[in-house]
Amino acid sequence: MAIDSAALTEVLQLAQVCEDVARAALVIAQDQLRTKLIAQDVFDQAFQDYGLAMQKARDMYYQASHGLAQQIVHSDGLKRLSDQTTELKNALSHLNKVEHVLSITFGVVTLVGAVATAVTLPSEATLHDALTKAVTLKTVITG
Amino acid sequence: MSWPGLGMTAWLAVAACAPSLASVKTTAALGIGLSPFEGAFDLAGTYCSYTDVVGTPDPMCPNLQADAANWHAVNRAVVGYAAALAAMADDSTDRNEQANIATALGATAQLGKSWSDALNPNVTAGVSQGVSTLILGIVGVYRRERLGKTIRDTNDALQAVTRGIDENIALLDRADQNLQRTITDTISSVQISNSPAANKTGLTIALSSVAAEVAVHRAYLVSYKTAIDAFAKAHDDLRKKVEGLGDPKADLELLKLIASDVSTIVNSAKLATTPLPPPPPL
Repeated sequence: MAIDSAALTEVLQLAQVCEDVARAALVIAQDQLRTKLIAQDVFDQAFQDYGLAMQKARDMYYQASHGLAQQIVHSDGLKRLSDQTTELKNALSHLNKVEHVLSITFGVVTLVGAVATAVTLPSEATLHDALTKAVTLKTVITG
Repeated sequence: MSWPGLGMTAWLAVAACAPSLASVKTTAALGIGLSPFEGAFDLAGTYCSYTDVVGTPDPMCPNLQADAANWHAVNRAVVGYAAALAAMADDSTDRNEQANIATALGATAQLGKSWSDALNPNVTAGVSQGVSTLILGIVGVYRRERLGKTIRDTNDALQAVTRGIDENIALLDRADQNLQRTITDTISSVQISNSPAANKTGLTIALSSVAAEVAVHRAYLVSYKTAIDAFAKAHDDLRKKVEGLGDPKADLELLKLIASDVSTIVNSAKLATTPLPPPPPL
């Protein structure tokens, strides 16, 4: 299967948005540590989640040029997944008050992991799982 | 009896070929200039060790390391091919391939183990096929007569190899970029932590040095991409210029054109030297 460069760009953009989501969640945890709303051990856990999410995003870069990853681009699910992830990024960037930062960072790890799986092994089931994780995280953020 | 027209035709033929040879030499120089990039994909040192240390190892690292030897061979094939082109375009006597650097590079450009799945298998298959074709271009006596056919037969192979190198550069650059962002975020997290000041300073210095190494690696990759793309483009342009050369049918057509040119010049010369008949009486 030949590489479709437009498709490649879309998968790479999805990975980039996942990175942005992970970093936005870390910034929230950093703000909370700075203002002493959370303890160092809680921040350390949040930082670990961030590292895992960045690792999953990195894996998506590797998978992006593969034929399997390209299949996802031709599904309707990708558009919804990209939209959801971008919305999450924006929501996290404007989030001022968080009660349980770890629930957000954990949600980010599971979301990015699910997106990476959907990119690596595209199917209706993996796409649906990633979308479900996105909705769950959105619920955690917006309450 | 001498024919000024023949001399002029010969000069025109030489003049027409001269720019082609100069272009070949310039293109070959671009390819030979890729030699310092042989280790461009030896990423393991900084990148993989860092991701191991911070507890988020890159699962692709073993694959990247496994492919490193193959990428060395690919670069040697490209540089060897460029050296062979330069030898073919040399204006001096026929070159003995045995004594040429191109042959030495070609001999060590054989791909070893199969590729990992770091890249799309279609891309790596194109690279492997491309290397085989480049080596075919290296093998043989270095004569100008081979240039047209060699350039034409090798162009697709060189483009495929270039595409593989470009893809691998893109992949590693994104991984490097991801690591740079992680390091930046780690430094900012260290700064707000409750660690002792000495620890914060030490960690920041260590992380900054890793970030600097990653930045150097990214710049190196960009240089490699610029250089290989320039060589591939120059070679593609060259192929368009030498279209038909080395092909017996095209060469025959070229000879016919030259013969026709000679005939025209000879006829013109005869016409010019024949005295005009006296004008008819009024």
